[in-house]
Amino acid sequence: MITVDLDAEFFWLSLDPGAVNRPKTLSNGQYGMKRGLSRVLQVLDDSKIKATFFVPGRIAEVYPQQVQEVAGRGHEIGHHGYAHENFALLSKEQQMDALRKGIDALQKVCGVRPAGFRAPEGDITHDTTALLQECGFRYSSTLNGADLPYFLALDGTPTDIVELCGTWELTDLPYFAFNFKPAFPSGQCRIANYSSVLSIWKDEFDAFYDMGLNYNIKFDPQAIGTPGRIPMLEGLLEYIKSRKDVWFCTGSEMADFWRSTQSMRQASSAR
Amino acid sequence: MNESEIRWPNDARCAVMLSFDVDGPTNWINRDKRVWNFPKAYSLGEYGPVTSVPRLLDLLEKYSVPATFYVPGWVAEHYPKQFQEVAKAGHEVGHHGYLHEFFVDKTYDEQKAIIERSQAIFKELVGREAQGFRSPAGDFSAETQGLLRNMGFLYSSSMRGDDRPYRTVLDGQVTDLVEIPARWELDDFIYGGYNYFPAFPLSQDRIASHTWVYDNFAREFDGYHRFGLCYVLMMHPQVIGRPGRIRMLERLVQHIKSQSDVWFATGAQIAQWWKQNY
Repeated sequence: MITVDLDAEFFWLSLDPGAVNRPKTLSNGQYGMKRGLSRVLQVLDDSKIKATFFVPGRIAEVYPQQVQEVAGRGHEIGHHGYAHENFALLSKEQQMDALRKGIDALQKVCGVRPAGFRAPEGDITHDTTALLQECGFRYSSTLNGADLPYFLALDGTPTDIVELCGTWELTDLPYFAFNFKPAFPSGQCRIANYSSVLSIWKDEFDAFYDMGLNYNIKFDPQAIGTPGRIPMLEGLLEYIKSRKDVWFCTGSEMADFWRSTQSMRQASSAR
Repeated sequence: MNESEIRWPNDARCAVMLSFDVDGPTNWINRDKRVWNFPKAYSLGEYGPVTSVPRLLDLLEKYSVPATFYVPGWVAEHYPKQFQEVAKAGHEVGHHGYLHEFFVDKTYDEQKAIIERSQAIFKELVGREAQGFRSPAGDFSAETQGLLRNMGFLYSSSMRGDDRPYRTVLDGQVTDLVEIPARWELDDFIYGGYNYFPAFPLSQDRIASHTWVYDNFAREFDGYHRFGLCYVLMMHPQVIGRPGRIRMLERLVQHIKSQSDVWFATGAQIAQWWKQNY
C-alpha cells in the first residue's frame, strides 16, 4: 500500500496555530502542494501504481484543483481530518465535527464520500472508533500495532471497520521535516541521511515480503517531493516491483479483500 | 526530463548558487545574549570570519566560482578586512540583519532601522549597499517582504517553499522583488551546528556525518540538475570551513563541475536574470 498524506501547511498550523503569521514556516508545507505533489503523481503514473491519498478537508478547500487532479488520475481519496487536527486532544463532539466537515469538503471537491480514515499523525481517543462507525467508514489506517489488517473492536466486539496499520519507520516526514520555530523535530534533530532512509525502507520491504505482510508506507509530498528525494521513491518502487508476486493495492482494495477472506474463513469454519 | 523548462543563461541546465551566511558570533548572541560574556561559544562563531572566510575565498578562486556572502552589519564592522576581501574578490555581499535578529519579533520600523544601519556600514566599507537580503535566524514577519520591496531590494533569499526563483506576490500583486528560496536540507548548520551551552540543537542531537551530508547535498544537486532548477546551498563559514568539511565542499564543487551545463551565479545575477526573463 503506497499512501500519501497531503498535510501541506496544515502540518505546521496544527503544530502551532501562531505559524499563520510566519510565512516562511508555512512555505515548508506549501512546497508539498506547489512542487512535491506533481512529482509524486508523475512517479506513480510512471510506475502504474494507484495510491491512497489521505487529504484534510481544508486542503481540498484551499487546493481544489490539485486534489481533483489526484482523484482524476484514479487514486483513492481518504479522510485525514478537517484541518489536520490532533484527534487525541478533541472531545467526542469536536471529533465528530471534524469528521463531518472533512467528509463534506472531500465530497464537495471530489464528488466521492471517503471510505477510509487516517487520523492526523495517528492520534485518536477511545471514542473515535464509534464515530467512524457512525460516519460509515469502511476502514481506518491510523494505528501502529500490527502489520496485517484486523477488525477494529467496539466494546469488545469486532466491527466491520478494517484497520490497516502503518509504522513510523515507513513514514517520510519524521526523517526529513525541519523547522526552527515552531521546532520540528521538537529537539531540532538533524535531517536524516537519504541513503540510510532508503535502505531502511528496502530492508523493511524485504522482511514484509518474506513474512507475507501488508507493507503500508506513508509519504508527504513536502518531504519526499524534493528533487533529491523523488529518486528515492522511484528507487523504492522499482525495488518493490522487481519482485513479481507483490500486490499493489489501495486502502479500500485491501479492506475489501480482508473482509472477503475473513467471511470466507468464518463460512468454512461454520461448515 | 527537464521538468521546469526554465531557460538559464548560456543554455545551462540548472543554476547553482553557493551562499555563505557569515554570522560570526551573532547567531549565538541572538539566541542568548549572555554569549557576549561566554568566550567559548563566541569563539565558535568567530571561527567563521577569522579562519574560514580566507579558506573559502581560496577554494572559490581555485575553482573560479562566484559566491554570495550574507553578512550581518555587526560582523562587517568587526571584521572589516575579511569583509572587504570578500567584496574585492568579486563575490556578492548581501544583507543579513545587524546582529542576526529574529525579524519576526520586530516591528516594521525596527526592521527598517536594522536594514538602514547595515546598509550604511556596507556603503562605508565596500562603497555600495546590499541588493539582496537573507532573513537571519528563521522567520521574518508578514511585513518584511513589503519592507524589502519598499527599500528597493532586488531580491530576498529567505523562503522555503520552492526550488526556483519567483516574483514575490504582495497584497495580491506580482512585484519586482525576486525570491530565491533556499531549503533546510541544503543548510549545513542544521547538520553540523553544535554547542553545549547555550545548547544547539535543543536536543543536542549528534553531529551528522560529513559523508552523509555530502550524500544529501549531492543527491539534491543531481535532482536539481535533472529537473533544471536553482540549487541554493546555504552554508555557514563557522561550520563548512572546518578542515574536514571544507574538503567535503570541495568534493561537492567537483561533483557539480563534472556537469558541463551548470550556471554558477550570485544571488543578484540570478535575480537579474529572473527579472529580465520571467
